[in-house]
Amino acid sequence: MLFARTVLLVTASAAFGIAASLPTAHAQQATSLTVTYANGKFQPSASHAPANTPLALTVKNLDAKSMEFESASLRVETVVDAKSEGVIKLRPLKPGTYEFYDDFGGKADGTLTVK
Amino acid sequence: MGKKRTLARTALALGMLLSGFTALSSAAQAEDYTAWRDIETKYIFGFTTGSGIGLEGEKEFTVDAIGRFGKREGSYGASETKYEFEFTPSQFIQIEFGALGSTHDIRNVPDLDNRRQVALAGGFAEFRYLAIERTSSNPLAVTLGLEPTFRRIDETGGERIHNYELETTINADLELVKNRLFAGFNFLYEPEITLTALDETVREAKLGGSAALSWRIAPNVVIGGEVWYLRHYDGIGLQDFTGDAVMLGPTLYVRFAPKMFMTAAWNTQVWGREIGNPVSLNLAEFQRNRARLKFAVEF
Repeated sequence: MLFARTVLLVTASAAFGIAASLPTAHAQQATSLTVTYANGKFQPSASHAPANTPLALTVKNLDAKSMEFESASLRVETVVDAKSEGVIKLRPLKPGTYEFYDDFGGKADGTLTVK
Repeated sequence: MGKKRTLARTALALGMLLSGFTALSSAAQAEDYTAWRDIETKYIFGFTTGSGIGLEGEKEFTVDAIGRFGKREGSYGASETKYEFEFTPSQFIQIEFGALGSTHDIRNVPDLDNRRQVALAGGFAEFRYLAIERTSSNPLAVTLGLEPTFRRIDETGGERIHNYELETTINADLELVKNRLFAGFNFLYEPEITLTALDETVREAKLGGSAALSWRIAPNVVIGGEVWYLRHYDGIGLQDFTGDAVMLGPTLYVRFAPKMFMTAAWNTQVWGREIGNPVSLNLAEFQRNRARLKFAVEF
């Protein structure tokens, strides 16, 4: 059963590789950014950040209901409860514009421009 | 006759796709699609898998059924359904695992036993790594996938076996028009080994690739078409080529709600050959038609 053993070995290696890669993803010193969500809008709606640096994005929700910060291009989503905040660790980003929005039915959206 | 019928059905499907495409597209013309939110590309290409790996922290439960229909003689219908849990632990990796269910309805097909059965067929896991990410200045994204699968029920014939398969894929997609038009490409190598009930060991492999085009006609609706070229080998080393086939068909993706979507696809074999058998189409190793229907809920 050489093939079955190979499949098992490859699977185990992939799982190990994934596990090993997780803690190193944000090992570099992160740059902090803050976005506030109030009255159904993001403030600022356009943020800026340096390229190729890990980011720690704090989302402060000042509204009385929870919101979900989501972005397909940043590849993150997180629920931030009412009157609380959440910190999202972002990988070092390449230059470009990244859109984000509230996915709990809100119309709010914003952009993060990385240079 | 069979070939003509297949071509007629394909032409009809493409005609319907094209007219639907045109009608819905013109209805969406007035909308400002640059304001549409980014779309996850993994499921918008039908059988072709896009590069999307989901969002970090996202979890998803999926029911993904693939039906295969039609052999040269007799009546053939089989399906395999994945009951799948999927999650994205980092911004580069996606992991999936789950159980497989299968159904077989086979009557008077040469080389296959008559059978009507529903069974728990096995299990699988999948690891996907985003190797090249799309940015606002780079429209290309590429993901590498590895999917080991164990089956206790043969996918084609439905008999009891022990089957070990390792599907390796490259899933690439290209954003041709922002938020609107996407091209998808897959490369597939799928070696497998099977221990039959008669204690025989069978080695085989599938190699192939696909190209797909998907048009987002509304914020939550994507339609398109895809073509697959697949080759079959008796052996995992790609020496013993036994036949190939080209499959073509339409695709559909609909997001019902922010956390719920479905994808559907239909492929018909439009060309194929069996080595050593001068017949049209390859219905020994591939089916005449295949269909995919997938429902997913994110949480």
